[in-house]
Amino acid sequence: MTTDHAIADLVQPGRVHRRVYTDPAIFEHEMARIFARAWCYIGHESQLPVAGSFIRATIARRELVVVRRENGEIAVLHNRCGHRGALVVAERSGRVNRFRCPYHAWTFRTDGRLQSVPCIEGYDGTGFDTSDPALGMRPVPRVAAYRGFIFASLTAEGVSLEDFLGPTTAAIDNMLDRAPDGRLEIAGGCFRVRQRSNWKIYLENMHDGLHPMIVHQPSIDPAREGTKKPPTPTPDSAFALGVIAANGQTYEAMAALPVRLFPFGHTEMAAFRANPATDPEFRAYREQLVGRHGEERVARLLSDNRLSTMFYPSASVQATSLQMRVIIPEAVDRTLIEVWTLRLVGAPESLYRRTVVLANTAHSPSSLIKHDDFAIYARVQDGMAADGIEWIDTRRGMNDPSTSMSEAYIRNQFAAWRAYMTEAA
Amino acid sequence: MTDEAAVARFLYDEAELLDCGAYDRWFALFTEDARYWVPSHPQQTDPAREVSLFYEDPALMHARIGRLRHPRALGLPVRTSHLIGNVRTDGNAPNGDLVVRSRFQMIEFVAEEQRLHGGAVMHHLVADGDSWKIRLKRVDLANAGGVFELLQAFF
Repeated sequence: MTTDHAIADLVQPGRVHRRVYTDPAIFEHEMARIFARAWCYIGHESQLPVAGSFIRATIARRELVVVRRENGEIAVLHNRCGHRGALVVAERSGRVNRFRCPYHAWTFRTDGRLQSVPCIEGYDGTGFDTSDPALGMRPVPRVAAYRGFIFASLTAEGVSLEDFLGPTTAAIDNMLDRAPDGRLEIAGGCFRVRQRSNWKIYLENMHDGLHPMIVHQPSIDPAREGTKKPPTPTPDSAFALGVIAANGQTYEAMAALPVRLFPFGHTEMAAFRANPATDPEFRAYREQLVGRHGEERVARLLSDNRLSTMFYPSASVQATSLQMRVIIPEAVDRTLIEVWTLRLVGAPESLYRRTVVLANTAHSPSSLIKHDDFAIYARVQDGMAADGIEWIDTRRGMNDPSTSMSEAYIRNQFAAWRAYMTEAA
Repeated sequence: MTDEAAVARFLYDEAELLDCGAYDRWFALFTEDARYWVPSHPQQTDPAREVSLFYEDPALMHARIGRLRHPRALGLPVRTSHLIGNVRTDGNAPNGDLVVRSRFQMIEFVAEEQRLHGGAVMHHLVADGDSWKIRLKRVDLANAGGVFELLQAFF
């Protein structure tokens, strides 16, 4: 097995070893030491409206079920029967009074305790005890929510969720403050998109301000043309074309976009676009917010543009455009991304419509933007696969860590990576 | 009653244009107010309130065609081969458009790999001389709601 010393050497000032992206043994370590220790995002309370509501989630490849209990609390259970180990729940979401394993009909309360076992006399004389937690659907050690956003940790010890999230909570606060009812909900379905590359390659592209005008030229060019020539776009598709064309910012413009670095590998990047809406519906919505927060605060709330805020290693929220991306590593070279949209409760329908159009444009499997991104990620993965040339350079912007033209956010992620990976279990 | 054989021939020709990469001629089959829609799940009724795998008006379809032809587009070319079957007319939409239902299977060859797609298709057709134009093409993939890799080609 790889020693901690050897792992520490894989991340050096200005470079990382290709094995961090390609070695299955390193990937196993990442699951145990990073994903199983960090607070990982697993869902939103709006997805669990009533007692018995559940959703499935995955942390470190472990199948979990997140459920609203009768007392209103949220439990996160291993989706695994205490008998033969079968997945108890196959649906992505639903509602139950109790969980029932379809194999031998063991049933479990929503806190995971074993409730009933058919033909229990078969266990006579074995010491079998239905109150043994090992026979239930075991709860994960820690669950906490920040204003509706549910996180779990597979490790009993560690920093609190608020300390973990640190300044990134401002992105969540901003979304809630923009909701006239002060509430957010997950709405509108979900994209589940698989990419053939290591999970870190996705995260390392997230604030990369140099690649858009290069990688996305094949979508920027037709989107720009589409805004000028027929066929005339609908308002929705004009917005979509604008989102695609916005990747064509100059290097100078990108260099003006701040990226902020936080502890635990978290990062945040400012957005390209200002809130453009000036229509009557938006003005009415704005007035609602002013009534709630006052003019000065609303001006700040609406100008506080965030492209993306990363809760390393498990999720990224696009607060301004109300998108949530969940990063689910499946193998060293395979990553599942789930994309959810958030609705500001009480805001006009037209705002949520924009959120849906943005999700379709930027995150659908058919996204003109994502095609070229994912192809590049796979090329990076394939290019690094074989040995012989060992190091990946991470020095860009070493002296200018604060903008999207710098790889400082990658170095920040690797500082957290190295700390997790070398910290004693 | 509309001649089902003629409608089927129209759908075969439409698919053939895609499979030959004749995107301009394919695009010309659509009305100016057309929609190309691939819902994210089979029960989806509203593209404005739920995400879609594709929801494109002619401007977005045109942009997709532009990317498929762009010399720097990555992960291309994509080649497709459609089989269309079970074609049947299904009355008229409230606006009078002819509703046509069919099934398809499509082989997609992309990034050195062959993939198989399939599902139900609904066309809304508008009479245009002795042929039709497409006002709506809705494709309900058999695996809608599942996990996808990238979808670059039109179905």
